[in-house]
Amino acid sequence: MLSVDPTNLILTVVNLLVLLVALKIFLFKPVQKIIADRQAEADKQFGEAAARQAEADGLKAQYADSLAGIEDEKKKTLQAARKDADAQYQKIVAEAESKARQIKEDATAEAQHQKAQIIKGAEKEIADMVVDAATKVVGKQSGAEIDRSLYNEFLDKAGE
Amino acid sequence: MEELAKNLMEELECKTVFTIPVLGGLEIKESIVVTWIIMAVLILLSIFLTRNMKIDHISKRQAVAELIVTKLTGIVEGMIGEKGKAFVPYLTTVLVYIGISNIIGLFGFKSPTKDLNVTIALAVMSIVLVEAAGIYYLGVKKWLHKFTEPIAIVTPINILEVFTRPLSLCMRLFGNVLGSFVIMELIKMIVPVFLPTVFSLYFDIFDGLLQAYVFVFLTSLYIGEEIE
Amino acid sequence: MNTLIAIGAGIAVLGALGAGIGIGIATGKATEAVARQPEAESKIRNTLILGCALAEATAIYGFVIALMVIVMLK
Repeated sequence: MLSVDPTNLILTVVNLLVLLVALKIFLFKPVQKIIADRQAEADKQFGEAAARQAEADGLKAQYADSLAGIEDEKKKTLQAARKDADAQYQKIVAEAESKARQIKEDATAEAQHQKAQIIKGAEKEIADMVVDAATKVVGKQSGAEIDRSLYNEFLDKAGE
Repeated sequence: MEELAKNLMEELECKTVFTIPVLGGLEIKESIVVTWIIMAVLILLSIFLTRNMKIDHISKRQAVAELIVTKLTGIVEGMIGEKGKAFVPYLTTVLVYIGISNIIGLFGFKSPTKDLNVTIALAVMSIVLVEAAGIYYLGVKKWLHKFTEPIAIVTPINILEVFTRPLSLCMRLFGNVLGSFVIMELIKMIVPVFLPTVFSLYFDIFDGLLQAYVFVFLTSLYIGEEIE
Repeated sequence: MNTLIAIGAGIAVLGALGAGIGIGIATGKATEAVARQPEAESKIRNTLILGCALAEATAIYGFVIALMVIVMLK
């Protein structure tokens, strides 16, 4: 128990060193390697996830952008269409108005023309009638009687 | 009473198991054989535990291996700090070896740490490691200069410390194991049932593991002091 | 001779006195520390156990020397 023996001292030292090397090879190294590997794997996965997240964020922003663009375009198109329609409407109305005016004018002109023609016709007839009556009266009587009879005749004819 | 003393002495004596017939006969003591057994068990166990390890979907075996390694290295790293990472495997090995040696008495073997040769070897290795770490980290000049710190007059005490430190390490471990062994034997002789179980929880398991911890703690303290 | 050896061993074991006093003081201080800072209990307990193990060493030295006295001088 209390005897110191060089052989056993040296053997114990050798034993411990062998144990140290063996444990290092068989226990510490592999376990630490696997833990480091797992850490690396986890880090890699985290990195990938972050990259994917960034990508998704970018895509989202892009989508939002394009969505806003579409909204804008829609509004613009709608506005343009409305304007177009308005213009068309205005134009149609104006056209219709002008056409109506034209028709009215035409009709008035026609009426005027007809009226003029009728009046002309009537005048001519009256003149004819006067001439006729005159010739008739002149042929029958003379003097004041002629005038009176002429007048009467005229009135008669005119009264018809 | 005579018989008790004789029994005790017999138990304490470390017998020569066999003699290797070289260099005039090398006597192999019981403690060395038990150390071999411990080594074989440890190595086989670690080979078994770390067989085909994977990164994910780990087996229970691998989980146990990882738990043991991370816990033990965590304990040692907590003692020695970031700076002495290079010493962690050695200190962990010593921790495991002393711990198992101290409680192997429960399995009917004779504790190797009950043999003075083993504890002397451990202490000498520790102090060699401490001084080597000092030389390696500081260089010979600074290492020598460290003996005259804080003032020149304490140099003899500092030099003496190189010898007292391993002596105290070795004797503390040896004395603790021996003391708890003797007390356990006495208790077993007086009350053979129940009581020894209760006391062996403290003397064999708690004290044995605590002494392993203390040994490694002091060694790492000395190393940390030296490489500061 | 045997009586002298026994007396020597007994005196050597008196070293346990120091360990007892040391552990007592350490435990007392640890209790005070826990009372002052209950949240640091686990740390204090670890330090206490370590300190006790170190203080116990003197008693162990005494024991080893007593044993040596008995074995060597017999």
